[in-house]
Formats: sequence, structure tokens, C-alpha cells
Amino acid sequence: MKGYSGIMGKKQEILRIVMTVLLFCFALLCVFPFIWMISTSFKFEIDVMEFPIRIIPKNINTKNYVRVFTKSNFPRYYLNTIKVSLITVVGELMITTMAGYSFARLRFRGKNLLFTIYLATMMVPAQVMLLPKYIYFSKLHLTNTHLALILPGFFSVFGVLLMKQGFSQVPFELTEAAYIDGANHFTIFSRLILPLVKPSLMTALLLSFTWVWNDYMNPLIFISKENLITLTVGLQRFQEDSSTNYALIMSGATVSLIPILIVFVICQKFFIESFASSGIKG
Amino acid sequence: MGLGNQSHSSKKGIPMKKKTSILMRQEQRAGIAFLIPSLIGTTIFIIVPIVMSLMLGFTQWNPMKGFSEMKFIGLQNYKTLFSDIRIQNAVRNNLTYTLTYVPFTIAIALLLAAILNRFVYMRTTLRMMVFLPYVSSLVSVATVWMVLLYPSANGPINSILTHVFHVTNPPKWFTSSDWALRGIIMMGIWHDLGYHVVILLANITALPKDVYEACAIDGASPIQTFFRVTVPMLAPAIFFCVTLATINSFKIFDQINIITEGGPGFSTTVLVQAVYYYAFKEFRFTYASAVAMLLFVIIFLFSNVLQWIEKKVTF
Repeated sequence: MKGYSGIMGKKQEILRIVMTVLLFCFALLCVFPFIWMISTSFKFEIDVMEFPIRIIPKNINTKNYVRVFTKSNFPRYYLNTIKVSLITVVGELMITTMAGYSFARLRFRGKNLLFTIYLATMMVPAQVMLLPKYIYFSKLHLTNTHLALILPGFFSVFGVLLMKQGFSQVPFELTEAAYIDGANHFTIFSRLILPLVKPSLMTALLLSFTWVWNDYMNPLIFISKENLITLTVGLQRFQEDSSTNYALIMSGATVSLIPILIVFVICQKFFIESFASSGIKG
Repeated sequence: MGLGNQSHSSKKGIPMKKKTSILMRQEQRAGIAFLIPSLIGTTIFIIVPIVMSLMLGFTQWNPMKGFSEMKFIGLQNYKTLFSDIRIQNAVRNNLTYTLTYVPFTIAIALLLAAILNRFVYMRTTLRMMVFLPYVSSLVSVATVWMVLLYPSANGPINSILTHVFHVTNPPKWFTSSDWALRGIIMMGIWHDLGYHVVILLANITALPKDVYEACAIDGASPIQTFFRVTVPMLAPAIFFCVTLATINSFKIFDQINIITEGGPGFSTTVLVQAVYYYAFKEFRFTYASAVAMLLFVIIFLFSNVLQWIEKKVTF
């Protein structure tokens, strides 16, 4: 019996090493575009299309980055993106946690009907709401303001569902006594329950941050003024202005990607848990 | 928690009924108060736009003019849809994209998740590398792919194809109407794969361990275990991924607008691209709304069919 499991163990070890190597090659393929992008951003234009592809450039060129930071509007795009993302995420978290709490833990008339309506709106793609939103934003002179990006971002039905799920996992016995003793609902919500749903808050925060930071369609449609646009549309304009200067374009792409890549690599555990928990059926 | 199963009515006290009804009224008021901010916003930014979009589809109207200029034209916009060559191509491309992107993404993700679950070292690092594209904006990665798939023979990918794999006539990728959509599909799979790997892996890890022990004792091969045990037990998670991938794949827009703007010809035109084109290039808002409704109908049909299949397959 002991020998048997020993053979199995060795066989499995070899299998595991082979699989690790295979998967590592595949994973390298997944990150290759990023490695190539960073490497190219340090190249001279003449070396971009060379073969064999050098990951460490033959001649290192940092002028691309100097141009990105001094001759383009990237610093402005950054500030705009940070502003829009932060305000949206904070506002969204406040509004969706309150709504999620209400749906998960409070009984009131019409709750089921309202919740069904919320769920039903999830079926409709955001693109359907886009044109009416554009029409009345332009009537209200909200186009070409950051409010046009921030305000709709506050009201994420997905965020409400996520928080509702988080809140309903907190045992009800925990709050019954507090209610009967006459604690008010807001105290119970903010002092007792909110600290218990930190994982859900984290998930909501990271999902919505990633979404807002990477959003392209809304800024494309609602913002046209150069000093108001965000990174995604900014990169598109930068790329159109740089025509065939690919090394320069790659440094623009790197600059637009680096913050979220760094945040991701540092907090990868939280990111992956968050995205995974958005998909575990519960 | 030491509080037991107390409920409102079991609490001792003399004016019990009165106290309960006060509590209930308080709860009623709190419930609405907590919901109000979200309710107002959801109405303004989601529900009203949906209703408006539905109505716009049946009208003819220039949004630069007042609401009094709006003219009801019944199904005219929808009739035009069917003879519109841009829309015909968009629907065909959307279907091609979905029907290739979804099966490939889910199949590869499932395989990777199963391997990552049991057969590798450095699981966290590998998982992170595969997930990396998903957090990056489609605009940035589309910019990178556009250059990687540079159409001439010395483009980075094409030079690998010619020099390493001896392909004599490397594809012209985004400048060829045959290859543009394939390039978009490849990029789509690459970008979203990690998300599905992470979801499936989380679900595999949550499967009961003893079933796998039983398989090992019975001498089932890893491949048998994968098809006979992992896949059936994962069915709900797989359906979740398929549904999500299908719905999202119909909304594809960012990378297409960056790389090809629907071309060459109509070879990568998709529905969202058509909505954008009609609304913001031709300023035909009501017609664009009809296109958006068509997108909704298609997504609705597909997700219902998938739900129906799920019920059939998993009882």
C-alpha cells in the first residue's frame, strides 16, 4: 500500500511539473502583449518592427515618455479619470449599500414589486438607455460636464444586488434584540451591520472602480471637450494624433494602463476574490 | 450568537401588540427611507430612459428640435431595419462573434480552471497572469493589439508567423475583411478568459473533496474525472458563465470602435457600433433607438433560451 502511493505520488509530481510548465507558457502568452507594449515604449521607432523581437531594447529611448508627459494632455486625463472614478465609487457605495440593506433586511409595502422592477432593468443593456440619456442630458446642459459621467454611475442595480446578497448573509438574530430595545434603524445599519459586510463592500468597490476607470462609451458620448475627457478617450485621441509613431503610442498605452496594473498586482488577492464572488451562485 | 430564536411576537411585555405595530411602522418608514435615493436615481437614469427608448423607436424626431416636432410613425423604423445592409451585417457579425467567442472562452477557461485546481505549482501567480488582461481597459489593449497584429509581414505577430511557423502569406488582420473579425474574436477571448477562469476555479474549489477521492480510489483518469465529475457538478457555474459571456458578447463595442470602426466594409460592424453610428454620425436618434431595441430583443431571446436549456439539463 505504501509503495503504491509512493509511485502514484511520483507520477503525480511529474504530471504537476509538466502541467505547471505548460500553463506557465500559456500564462506568458497572456501577458505577452503587456511585456511587448512596455518594451516597445522604450524603443526607437525604427526598432519597433524588428525580428527577432527584442524584449530588452537594443537602444533605450526614454523620449517617448517625455513627450507623453510634456507634449500631451495625459496629466489632465489622469486628473479627470481619478476625479470621476473616486466620486462615482464613493457615491455608488453609499447609495447601493443603503438600498441593498433595505431590500435585504427591512420589511415594507411594495418591496417585492420594486425588487422585481430592479431585477427586470438588469435585462436591458445599458446601450438602450444611452440615447434617451444623451437627449435629456443635452437639454439640461449636462453634456460636457463630469456630472454626466458621475451621476448615472451612482445608481448601479448590480451594486444593489451585490450588497443585498451581502446583507442577507448576516444572521437576523443579531439585530432583533437591538430593534426591540428601540435602537433606530440607521444606528443598527451603520454601527452593527455595515462592519460585518466588509467583504461585500470591497467587492463592490473594486468592481465599480475597475468599471468606471475603464469606461469608454460614456465619456465618448457625453464628453467632447479636450480638458474634460478621461484616459480611455484620451488614449484614443493620442493614438489618432500620433499616426504611425508606434513606439510613442505604446508609451501612451503603458501610461494609461500602469496605474490599474499596479493596483491589481498589489491587491490581486482582493481583486480575484471580488470578481470570483460576483460569480458564485448564492 | 447567544440570542436564540427570539422573534417580535415572542418578546414578553404588556402592550405587546402596540409595540409590535410601532416597530413595524418604523421598519416600513426606514425601508422606504433607505431605498429612496436609489429609487429616485434608478427611475431617472434607468427606468425613464428605457421607456423613452421604447417610445423613440416608434417615432420620427430630430432631437435638436422641441418635443412637439415628434411624429409617431408606428413600425416604420423597424421595417427599415430589415432592409438595412449595415444592420444585416451587424446581426451576422454579432452572431458570428458570440457563437465562436463564447464556446472557445468557456471551454478554455474550464480546462484551465480544472488544471489550476489540482495540477500546478504557483497557482496564485498563474491565475494572476491569466487574469491580468481582464482588468485592463479594452481601449488600451486594443491599441496594443492593433500594432501587434500589424498587417504587413514585419508586424510583430506576422513576423513570428513567417519566421518561426513559416507561414508564407500571413493574414492582413484588421485591414482584411476576412481576418478582421477573427482578430477581434481572438482579442476578445484573450481579454475575458481570466474572468471566467477565476469564477470557474472558485466554483471548482468549492466542490466536495470526497468525490475526487472516490474517483482516485476507483482509478479514474484525470480526463475521465474532468468529463464525468467536474463538468456535471459545475453545470450551474458553467451556465452562469455562458449566459454572462453571451450577454456581454452582444454588447461588444469598445475594441471595434478603436480598431476598425466597423470596417473594412461592414466586416466588423456590430449592433452597438450601428447604434453609435446612426445616433452620433447621422443624428438619426429614433432609428438608432430602434437598433438598440433590436439588440435588447436579441439578448433577451438568447438569455431565455439559455435559461430554458439550463432547466432541461440540470433538472
